[in-house]
Amino acid sequence: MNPDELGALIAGSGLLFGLVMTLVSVVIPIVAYWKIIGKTGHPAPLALVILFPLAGLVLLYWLAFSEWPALNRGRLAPAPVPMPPPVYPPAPAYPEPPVAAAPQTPQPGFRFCTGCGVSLEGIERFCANCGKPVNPGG
Amino acid sequence: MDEIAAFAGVMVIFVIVVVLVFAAIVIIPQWRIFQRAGYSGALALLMVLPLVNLIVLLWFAFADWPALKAAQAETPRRFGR
Repeated sequence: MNPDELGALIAGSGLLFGLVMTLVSVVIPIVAYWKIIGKTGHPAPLALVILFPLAGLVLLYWLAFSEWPALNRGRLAPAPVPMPPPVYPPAPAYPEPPVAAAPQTPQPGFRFCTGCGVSLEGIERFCANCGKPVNPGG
Repeated sequence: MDEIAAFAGVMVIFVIVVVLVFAAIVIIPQWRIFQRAGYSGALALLMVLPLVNLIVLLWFAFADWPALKAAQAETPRRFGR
């Protein structure tokens, strides 16, 4: 083996070693963390944070102690806040209409004379205006 | 001679304590993450071993987490989900 071949061998193995180490220490952790963070319901690209030396540890603690949106979905959904009853301004003080206006519902046959149409009390047997007999049937 | 042995002993204990502290710093959050995903927290102990940690990490990343399944089972199916 001449020196050139030896040098190429060393360079090649160094390149291979570098590739493997990159795969092991960078690519695989990022892929794994990407999946894990995504599963917790947090934004998956946060996995790139582990490229920074100490940030990976911070990410780990944050992941361990933060709320996981994926777990809370549905179960811890906040109960719908009941709408408070609407507050209306107080009604203006109109004078109460006379109660006497209420019994205007005509009782058929007893309220008006069938002969002249005058209003009756409902107890008379003959109309006080025209003298026509008030018949209870109408 | 005795002094050297005593120093070595102290150093060994010191190194062990430091290693344990650093291991605990990493194990504690991982223990909690595994537990919250629905697995045993003891999986975090495996994450200390050099090659095993990669395997566990990849498995964990692509596994069906029991806690997620439970959460989805409780979720009423609506909004087309």
